[in-house]
Amino acid sequence: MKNVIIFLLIFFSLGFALPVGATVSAGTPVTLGNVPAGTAAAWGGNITRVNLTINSSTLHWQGFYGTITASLRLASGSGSDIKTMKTWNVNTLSGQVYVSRSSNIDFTALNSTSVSLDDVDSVFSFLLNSNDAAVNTGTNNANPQFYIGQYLVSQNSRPLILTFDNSSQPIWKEVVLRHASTGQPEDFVFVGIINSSGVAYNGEPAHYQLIVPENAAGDNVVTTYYFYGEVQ
Amino acid sequence: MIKIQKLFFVMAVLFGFLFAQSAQETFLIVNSEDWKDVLSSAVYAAQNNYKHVFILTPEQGDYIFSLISGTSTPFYYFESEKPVNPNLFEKFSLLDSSRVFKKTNLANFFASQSKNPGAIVVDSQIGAEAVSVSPYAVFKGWGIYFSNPQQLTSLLDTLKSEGKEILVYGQIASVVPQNFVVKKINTGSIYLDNLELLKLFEKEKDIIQVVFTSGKTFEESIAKTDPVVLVGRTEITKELADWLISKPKLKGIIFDGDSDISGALQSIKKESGISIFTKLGTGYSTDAKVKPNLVLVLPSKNVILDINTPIYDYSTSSLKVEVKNKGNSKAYVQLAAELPNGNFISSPKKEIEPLASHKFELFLDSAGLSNPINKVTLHVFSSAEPKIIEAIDIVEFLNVKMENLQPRQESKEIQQNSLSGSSTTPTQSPYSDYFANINVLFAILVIIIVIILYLYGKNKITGRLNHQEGGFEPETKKEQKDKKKKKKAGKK
Repeated sequence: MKNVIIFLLIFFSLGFALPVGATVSAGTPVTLGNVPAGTAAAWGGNITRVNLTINSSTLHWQGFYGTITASLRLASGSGSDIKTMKTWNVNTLSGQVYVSRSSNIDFTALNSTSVSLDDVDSVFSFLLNSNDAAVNTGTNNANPQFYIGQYLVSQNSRPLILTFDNSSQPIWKEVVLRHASTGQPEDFVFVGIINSSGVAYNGEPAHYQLIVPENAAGDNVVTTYYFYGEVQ
Repeated sequence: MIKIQKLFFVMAVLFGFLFAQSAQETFLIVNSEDWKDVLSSAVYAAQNNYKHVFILTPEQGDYIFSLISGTSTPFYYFESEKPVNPNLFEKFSLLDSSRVFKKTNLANFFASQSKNPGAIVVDSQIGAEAVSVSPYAVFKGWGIYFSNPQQLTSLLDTLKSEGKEILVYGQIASVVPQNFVVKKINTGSIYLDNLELLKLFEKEKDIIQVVFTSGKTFEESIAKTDPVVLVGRTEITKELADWLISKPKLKGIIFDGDSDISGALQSIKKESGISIFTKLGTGYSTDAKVKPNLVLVLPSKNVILDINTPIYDYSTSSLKVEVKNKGNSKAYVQLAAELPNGNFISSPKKEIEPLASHKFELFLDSAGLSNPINKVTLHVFSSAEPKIIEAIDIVEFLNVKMENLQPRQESKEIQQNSLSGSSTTPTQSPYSDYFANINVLFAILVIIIVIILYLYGKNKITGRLNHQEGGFEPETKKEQKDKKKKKKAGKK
């Protein structure tokens, strides 16, 4: 009884231990903690790894499309449920891919900072007054509703850009957000809505497709883009 | 005279470097095998809004060169005495030799170039401590200085003479001479030190976003102004949990390629509801493919345990589990076995040296179970620190092995006692229940066999009667029908 109490004290002093489990048969030694750094295992949720390709479309916009290899890892529950661990592929992906020039996106500000396509043209000045200016590319206040973490981005509150699949159908949704208002390109975050069964403009299967402003005509410097997903 | 010229040249170059600013993204490229050079340069780059790139492999180094070389991208290239790719110095020199530098002790150099006169001193062998202080150094504009205990006094003397504000962080703070009045954080745990720093950070900056990491790797997300939060493989401390829960609007960042902390992240998400975003990769405008995160493995204390299959020992009614520490540091391990009757028994916490083993013994009597068991669920608590639990792994073993079976004579005695009706209690014999159960099962088996024999025998008897009537063959269906017809006809 004493030991039981000790165990329970340890267990509950942790507050919320949610350990990883495995089931093995006799004669099979188990190695714990042997996950080397640099080989990312599935995170505790959906989006884990990305296989992205990029394709230049215009001199002012650069396209990205790609697939996301996702798996769901389960080591949850309580009591007897926590002793098994399963990993399997997820057929239905959901969520968003966030692409920005900022390596330090403030996700807490994404849903509350207002933005319009005019802001995009203003900051990415090479777009201004061009045929493929942001205002000619997307529609203000036309986004679908989605969540960033627990925060809601309301429907029709942000700019939406649609891009085509291989049948010239505008199926790919991209929402323009902003996490800061410094007047720099790093303020913007381009959000690709994940489509688990989408087809990219070139007919390849893809989970998202989006475009970002890039001055291929005027710049001869490397621009860096950072890709983020949300752990479900 | 030559020395003065050299000094003048170096100062001119450094002066130009320090004050060079560009509206375009300037790359700060560091080619060094030394993780301290990488980390210190990343802090410096973040303080000056440079894009930090370190050379992880020779191939990746060539790729970075190819990325830059075809453009007019501004860059600075630094190489240590031990570069990852030794060919890059010459290549970058051909692009612009005024922006290419080769230096000894790059870590110290970058720390000395920090924006503000402040210094954070950490142990040169503990990567997690340097990771923990990086955002604070970026935020404060201070440099990170690495030291071992032997060199600490000399380093502190130098920093003091330069008029720097000093924070000595982590394990090395325990050897700060008493005559030095410096700020120290040293709780004896990398996790609790990290929390202390978070609280210090919080006094100076509104914390809305943090980077969760194992402390075993470095990625550029670490050297930003978002504080780093160290988490164990599956666990976080109670203190950290309380801190996180107190911040409902907090968001978390992780980077793909970090050591496995998925269990801890699940706990964090579940308990605090924090949204966690993962940095998936990096793309460049001149390339067609997005690259994975650059993740550098840091020196760290790793606990890797081999848990051998538990063995049930008849002679002691105990479960023996051998645990081997295959890691590079001491492991603090505690086992708790979940038994088929729902009870738990736990072991004391044991310290296991690297490459050493310890045989844990869990006595089943104490859990009110004296039967041998063929299945056990082990909860393995482990850590590289004595005070903290970094991971809890739950492993269910099926078909537990048995050893030290009871000598034959003693077994007979127990069987005789059982058969004669005298009872044995678990305290008298650990396996009496086992034999009692066998007797019950045996009795049930006998009854079943008797019933089967009876039913089978009934059929056989019918066959034998037929045989007596003349046929050696069993009765056929046709014969049975004929018999029924005859019976009916007889009645009529």
